[in-house]
Amino acid sequence: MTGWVILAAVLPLAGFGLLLLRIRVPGLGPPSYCGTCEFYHHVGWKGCRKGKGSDMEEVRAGKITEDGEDEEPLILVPPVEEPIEAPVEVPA
Amino acid sequence: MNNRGFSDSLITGTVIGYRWWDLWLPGFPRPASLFHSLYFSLPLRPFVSGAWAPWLPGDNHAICLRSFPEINYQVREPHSSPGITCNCGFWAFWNRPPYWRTAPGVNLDAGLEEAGVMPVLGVAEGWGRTFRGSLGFRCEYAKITALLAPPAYKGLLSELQPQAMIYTTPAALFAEHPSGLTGNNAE
Repeated sequence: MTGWVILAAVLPLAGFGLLLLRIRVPGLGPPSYCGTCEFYHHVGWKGCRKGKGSDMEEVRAGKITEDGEDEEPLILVPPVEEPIEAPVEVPA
Repeated sequence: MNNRGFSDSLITGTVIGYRWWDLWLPGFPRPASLFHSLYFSLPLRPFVSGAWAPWLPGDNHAICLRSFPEINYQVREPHSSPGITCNCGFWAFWNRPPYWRTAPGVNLDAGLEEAGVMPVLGVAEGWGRTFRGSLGFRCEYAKITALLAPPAYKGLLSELQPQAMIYTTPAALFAEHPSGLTGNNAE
């Protein structure tokens, strides 16, 4: 019982201390911006490309061309489906 | 509509490509941060999300989120999407891309599904102002036309994206939805 009381008193203080010292603990707190992968994520997120090459190098959001290539602008209009007309009966 | 920079001729057709979405599973609390202010209106309901925002069922109209400083640090002047000097717009690839983390702000150390996120591969069809490249396209309007569903989430995906065809095998999805430009100008 005493141990739980001590824990309940110490843990919040420890958390506050981390905040004061700005110690980043992976997974805690709001995500922060990472300049490497241009995403917001927690420190130490395994999906970050920081310091390593991976398939994500080739598949960044919006990267639809190889480096140095131009994008081709188009204006696309979906084809309009014509309604199927019922056959007209011709009176005999 | 500002079509500056786009070709003067209209092409009848659409573009089809492959990409990943994140299926945010029901029952998980959403990350509470300014970055996810868009998700405050969807606190616990499941939804299908792209890189920055949910995809609605049916047709979606792209807006550039880089105009909103509370969402993206790279604040730019508001412009029509897709922008010429921006990488905004709905995008997909001609070939199946490897999975990447599209919706940040979640601690993935515990694993994706434990964090309430399920990656889903599918087919996007786009039209309107479009930029076409050797790897894929990005466009003004898009909808999800097909999804490859993990068996446990087939029903949920059908409910969230009723216009999309649901597949359980990749071979069938790729065979029935070849990527590229559709219509009379198909190559």
